[in-house]
This record gives sequence, C-alpha cells and structure tokens, in this order.
Amino acid sequence: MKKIVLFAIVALGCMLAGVSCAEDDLNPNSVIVEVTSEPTPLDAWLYDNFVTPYNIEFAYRYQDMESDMTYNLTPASYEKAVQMAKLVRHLCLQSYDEITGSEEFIRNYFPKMIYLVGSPAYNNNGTVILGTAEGGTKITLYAVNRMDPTDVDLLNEWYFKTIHHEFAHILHQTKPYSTDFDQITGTSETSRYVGNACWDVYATESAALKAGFISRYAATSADEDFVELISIYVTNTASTWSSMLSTAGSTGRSMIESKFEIAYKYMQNEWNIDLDQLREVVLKRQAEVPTMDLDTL
Amino acid sequence: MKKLLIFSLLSTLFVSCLMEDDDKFSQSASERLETAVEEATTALQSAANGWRMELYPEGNRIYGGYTVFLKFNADGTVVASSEHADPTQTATSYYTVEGESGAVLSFDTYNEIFHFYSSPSTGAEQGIGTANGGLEGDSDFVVMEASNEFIKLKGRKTNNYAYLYPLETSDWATEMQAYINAASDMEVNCKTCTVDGVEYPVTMRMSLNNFTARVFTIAYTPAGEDAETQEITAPYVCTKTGIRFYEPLTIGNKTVSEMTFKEDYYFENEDGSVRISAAEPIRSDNQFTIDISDLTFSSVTVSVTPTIDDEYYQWAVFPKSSIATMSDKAIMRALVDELNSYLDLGLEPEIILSALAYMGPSEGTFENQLSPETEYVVAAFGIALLEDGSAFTSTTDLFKEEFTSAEMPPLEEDYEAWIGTWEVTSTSSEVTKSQLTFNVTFSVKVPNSTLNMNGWTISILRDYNYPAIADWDAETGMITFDNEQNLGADGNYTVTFVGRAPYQGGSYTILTGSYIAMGGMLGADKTTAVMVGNDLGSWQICGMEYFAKLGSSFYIYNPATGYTSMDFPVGPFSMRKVDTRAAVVQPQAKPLYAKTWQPGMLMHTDEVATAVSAE
Repeated sequence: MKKIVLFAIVALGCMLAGVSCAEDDLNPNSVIVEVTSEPTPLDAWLYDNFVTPYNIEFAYRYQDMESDMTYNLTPASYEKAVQMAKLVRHLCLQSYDEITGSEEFIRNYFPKMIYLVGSPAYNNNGTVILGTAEGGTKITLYAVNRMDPTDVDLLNEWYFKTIHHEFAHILHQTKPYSTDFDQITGTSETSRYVGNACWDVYATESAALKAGFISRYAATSADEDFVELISIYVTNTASTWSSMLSTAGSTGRSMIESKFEIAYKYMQNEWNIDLDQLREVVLKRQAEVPTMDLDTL
Repeated sequence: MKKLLIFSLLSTLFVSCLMEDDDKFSQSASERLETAVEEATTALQSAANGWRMELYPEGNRIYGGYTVFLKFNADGTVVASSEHADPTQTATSYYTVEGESGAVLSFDTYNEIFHFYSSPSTGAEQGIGTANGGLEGDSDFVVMEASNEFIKLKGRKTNNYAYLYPLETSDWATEMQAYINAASDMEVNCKTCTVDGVEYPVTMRMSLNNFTARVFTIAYTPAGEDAETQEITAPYVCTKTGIRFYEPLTIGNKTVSEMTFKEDYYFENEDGSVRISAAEPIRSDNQFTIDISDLTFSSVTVSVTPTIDDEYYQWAVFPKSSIATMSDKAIMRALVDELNSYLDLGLEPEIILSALAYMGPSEGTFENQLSPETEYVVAAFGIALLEDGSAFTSTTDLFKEEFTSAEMPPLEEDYEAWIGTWEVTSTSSEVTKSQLTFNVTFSVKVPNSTLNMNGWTISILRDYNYPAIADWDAETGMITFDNEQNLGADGNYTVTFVGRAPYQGGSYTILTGSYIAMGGMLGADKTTAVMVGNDLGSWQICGMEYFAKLGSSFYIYNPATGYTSMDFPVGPFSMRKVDTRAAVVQPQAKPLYAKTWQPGMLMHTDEVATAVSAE
C-alpha cells in the first residue's frame, strides 16, 4: 500500500513536471559569457592575419588558468606580443605557405593556439623552459618579454626552432614515420634513447652528436629525435649543419644521416615538402627580419 | 503513521515546487555571470582618480602588504604605480574582466610595475623573493565585491584578498610619495604589545628575501596558570597614518583591524587599549648650523656647529638625487643603520661613536669627492644609544643645507693626459730585487695646477683614500712630488708620503726634509711616462712610500696582498696608461662622510723604519 502511494505521487510529479516543462522555451541567450575587454589594435590585426587565413588563435593575453600553474609566470608585454605575432607569421606560417603555395597546409595542421608568456618558466634545477606543446593544439612560447628581435640566432634558439619542432610533432602524429627510424639508434651503452636523463647522459652537444643525436634533447626518444632533426635542419645554414656532422665523427655522422634521410623522405612523400626548399625559404626570411618593421601593425 | 506524514509532506513539496516553477534567481546562471562581469567592469572603471590597492603577494602573506595605485580605463588599459617603483612613474598595460567562476579580473599583458609582485624574474634577475618565484603574487583576481566605494578581489593563485579604495586625488606622484614616506617613518622595530596594560613580546619581520616585509608576531599568553603562549602572526599594510592588518587581529578579548602611528614610536588602536610599541625614543634639543665653504667643482669644506657641545651627532653629505625620494626619517635611519652595523660586529658603542660620529663643532673637507655641477645636501642630526644598548637612534629632527658644486674648468692637454689609471713598473725592489708592478690613479685637484694621486704604495693603504699631491708644470708638462707629504690622520699617527734612498751600501732609508722627491715626464704618445727619483747630490732618491708617522718615528704599514713587507719598489719607474678615466668624479649614490672607519694601529707594524734627514 505504501509503495503504491509513493508511485502515485511520483507519477503525479512526473505529469506536472511534464506539463510545466512544456511551457519553458529554450533560453535564447548563450551560456558562454563573452570577454568584455576592448579590442586592441593587435586584436584587429590578428583577426585579419591569423584567424581569417589560418584559423589560429594568437593568445597574447595571459591567464593563470591557461598557463602551467606550477610555475610563477607573467604576461607578455603588448609591444613584444606585436613583434612576436609578426615574426611568427613571417618566419613560420608564411614559410610553409611559400613552399606549399597556399594557406591550406597551415590552416589544416598547424596548432590552433599560440600562447605567449612573458617570463621564462624557471625549473628548480636552474633550467628554463622556452616552449611547450600540448597535444598538437597549443604551442606555448615563454620569455617573450626578453625577446630581442635583432638577434636572429637567439630568436631561432628560443622560439622558431621550437615552433618547427612542435609542428613536426603534429605532422608525425597525423601520419606516422617509418619504424625503421627507431632501429637506427640502438640500445648500446654509447647511444640510446634515455628519456629525461638526456641532459645528464650527454653532457655536451658534441657528446650527443658523437652518439648520433643532432642535439642533446634528441636523445630523449625517437619522436623527439625525429622532430629535432627537422627543426634544426630548417633553421640552420648548410654549413652549420655540415659542421655539426663533422663534429659527430664517422659513427655519429652516419647515424644522423640515416635518420635524417628517413625524415627527409617522410616530409617529401607524406607532405610533399622538400626540406631543402623549406630551409632555403626559412633562411631567406630570417635574413629579412632586420629590415622588417616589427612595431607597426 | 509518521512515515505517512512524511509522504504527504513530500507530496506537498513536490506540488509546491512544480507549481511555482520560479528560478531561485531572476536571471539564469550565464546572465548572472554576465551581470557580474558588467558590474565589476563598471565599478573598476568608476574611480575617476583610480584606486589604492592593498596587495598581499605570496600565499601565506609572509611579506605583508604593499600599496599599489591602479586606474582602469574604458579602452581596456590599466595604469599602475607602486611604492616599489619611482613614484613619479606609471606603467600601462591591458586588463580583461571575464566571466568564469564569477567575474575574473586579469592583468593579462605585462605591466612592469604591477607584475613586479608576481614575476619570477623578480627573483631570478633581481634576487628578490624566492629564486625562481620572486614575490609569488597574483596576476588574475576573482572579483568578490565591487562598488564605487570599495572593491574586494581574491588572488587566483594565492587566494589572498586584495582591497581597493578610490583615490581622492589625481596627483599620484605626491600621494604615492606620501605613502612611501609614511611607510618609511613607521619602520620602527616594535618589541612589545600592550593589551589593557599587560605586555606581550613582539617580533617584527621588517625584511625577508631581500625585500621589505611587514609582519608582526605577537607572543600572547592568556591569563591563567597553565595558559600556553600563542604566536599571533599579523601581516599588515601601511596607510598614511598607521597600519591596517590583513585580517582583524584578536588578542585575548580585543579585536584590532587598524592602528594609528603615534609619537614616532608606537601604534595604537582607536580606544587606546592595544598598543604595539618600539623603545621610546631619546629626544634632544640639540640644533645644528651647517656652513659650506671652499666650494669648487670637486671639493668642499663643510662645518657643522651644534648648540649642545657634549652630545653626539652625525652628519654626511648626500648627492641630492640619492635622497630625493627619502623622508628625513629615512635619511636619518640610513645613517643610524650604518652605525648599527658596527654594533652588530660587536664593537663598543663608545668606540663607534668616537670614531664615526661627532661631538662639538666639526669640519670635513671633501677633496676631489664631488661631481661637477651636482646638487648636494648636508644632513645633520643628534644621535644616542638606546637605553638597552641594542641600537643607536636619532634624537633630533634632521637639519639640512644644500649646495651645488661648480662647473668643471677646461683642462690643458698635457695636464689632462696625466688623469686616469697607470700601470707602474719598477726597475727593482729593495728586498726581493724584482720588478714590481702596481697601479696608480691621478685625478684633478686644482685644475691645470695640481693632481691627486692614489696608489703609490705596496702597503694596505692601497685600499684607502689618502691621495698624495703632484704639482703640474705648465711649461714642461712634468709632474713632481714634494717630499714628506702629510696626507691625513690614522688614529694618533699621520699618514706620510716620503722618499727613500740607498743608504750605507746595500740598504735603504727614509729620507726626510723638504725637497722634490720624484718627477714624471710624459712620453710622446702621452700614454706612457717615466717617473724618476730626484738626484740630491749626496742622496739619490729611488722611490716614495707611505708610512705612519708619530713624532719623528716612521712605522711601516703592512704589505698589501701580493707584496712583501719592506720590499719597496726602486725606480726609475716606467708607466703605461691603462684607463683614461674621466677627469671628474662620477656621481655616486653613497653619502660622503668626513670620518671613515680607521682601524688605526692595527694597520702598521711596531717596527720603526730607519729615517735620515737630507738636511
């Protein structure tokens, strides 16, 4: 008897609920609250040069929530953000446009967000983080407030090598490279992938080169090795590259060359990108940086 | 029966809820968020003169709070100034108010003044706060309350509250300076907290990690036999008239949120029942007359005359720019702290005072220590040791006198050629018979007439400022050094620059008497020179050296690092210019003291050097 009463009540409730719901209209207002800040001149420029052609968000307005909360960080300055936006477009996005002949390639594959942080991310061991990528969707560039646009080498080291590096990750995550690549670096005591210990195991860049890695970081894993080869290749001159190979010695050199050949063919066959051509375009564009007006939008 | 009742109640509940299908709020969640954002934005922009913010960085508020001024403009820019930047400066950046968990205010482009408190570079580059975190403050804040009169924010990272009050003046520079001065005046080292007449010990954290801190810790012991002492930690911020605690402070049955600074040494709550106090200052009626004389482009003589002859006082000459932002109290504290640093070394107060402070009329000549066309301030005040002997304290107001150094006259080419640092190489030396190398520096004394020279010694006096005087001859371009130059006091001794000559075959002696001891001639390129001792006929001067003279005895100064005692250099000397230093003294931030710390007899040996008169 008790149960029946309960059921009756529930039924009644449902009925009433049904009736009352039917009278509710869908709320026409979005539940997403728009950001109310006034657009800046850079916002308008970014809409025309990043959003419309590439559908990329260039996020220069800092938020703790968007950042790695384990670090103490600061926003990028507006002036540096303007410079960085123009540099990223000129040195990265348009380099690919130039060799692929359209904006499609970047639009389809480049991470959807570039996020700027003003300060470096200081690790407790005294190292700093210059760039990170998350799942192919977001590249974070740190220490933007320290960027000196007249120092192309430093720009490469801190930012553009990082961007090419992270972009190459997205490409190989989209279409895998040959597993032959993994076999070249063996498991010997002198040359193997060592994960985060790369900085300890390979004390210098030349030690890494001799062990068949194009950089110390490349010794982390096959994926890092692969993208380091591509990003270092396209941001350095042919003579820098060959002097790195000669530092590597015969053993290191042959390993690097075999691995690079796979990377080169992969880019050519899977993405129709000739890395030599890309390097030529990137270097040409680097040489143009000193004459660019980076401050005027 | 009871259950039935519940059921029937339940049914009415259902019905009632369903019948009145009103939202608890008149707006949807997103509408409310949007309203919150709009209201916060309107409130932030409402303050015509901007806001005064009480900002506490670091999640545990270990530093206490600081004053920041902020103005939020409708174009999305925010202007900031702070007590840790030049008060006449502001920095502009962008801000955003966004709806997330309530309205969130983000300082989302870099603001060099505001982000000083959150940037890791503050630590990594300026050494303030923790190495990789700096002061660990916030950049994003949740807006908790917002009206035209008051805004309460909560730091996203620290969870600290920040309070904003509208500024009543648009003159930020003057207002910020007033806050800086007030905070500086209130830097008194409080030791006791008195609640209804009962005293509790207080420790004050006045600095932490190379930065100003504002935290009291009160060791409160409630009345009663077994009562345990509680440590009450109270971070606070300075206002113009006193301090405000981060959160109301409860000591026993008293709750205090604000205190007023009174009589320059204690803080008191409104009804006077709670007082946090430093030692009561010692006051004196001593007054000072400051006279400036012999003012040139590089030198000045300052005399200070007190009205009371048996009390200590202190004075110094400051470049005006170095104290432009300091209150009188801050200036006095800087000088007192300097003396206190000697107390910390364990020296007797009376020794410190007699060595570094003054009693009765005093005079100091600052030879070649001024920069040309620069404003200076002489600052004098009474000084005494606190009763407990723990520190010195100022006892009077600050007496000040300003002067501006003269313009630098044009220098003759061959005179100017001497100015700078030269590397001197000797031909031999008295003991080790080796070529010695040392640096000397020439600077302008009387333009186109005399030069100051420092460094012609192998003794520890290399590190002290006892310049010898070189006379410059316009006709020949040569410089000469008179013998037996008395360069100043070293305790009871006189620092003397005197010639040395070979004596009794193989040994050497000091040669007293008035004669020209050494002469120097520039090379053709004017970056080399030679210096030779004078040939007096019966005596051949081979070099000069510094000795401590008492009566007719000369005591030997200890050798500087790298040199051997008594191994004085023997000329002729070849000189090579290594640094063309500017002819004038470069402006320095440090005050100039007429007295400097002299270890006195510790500097030289008890050994008397041979001395023979040339006469």
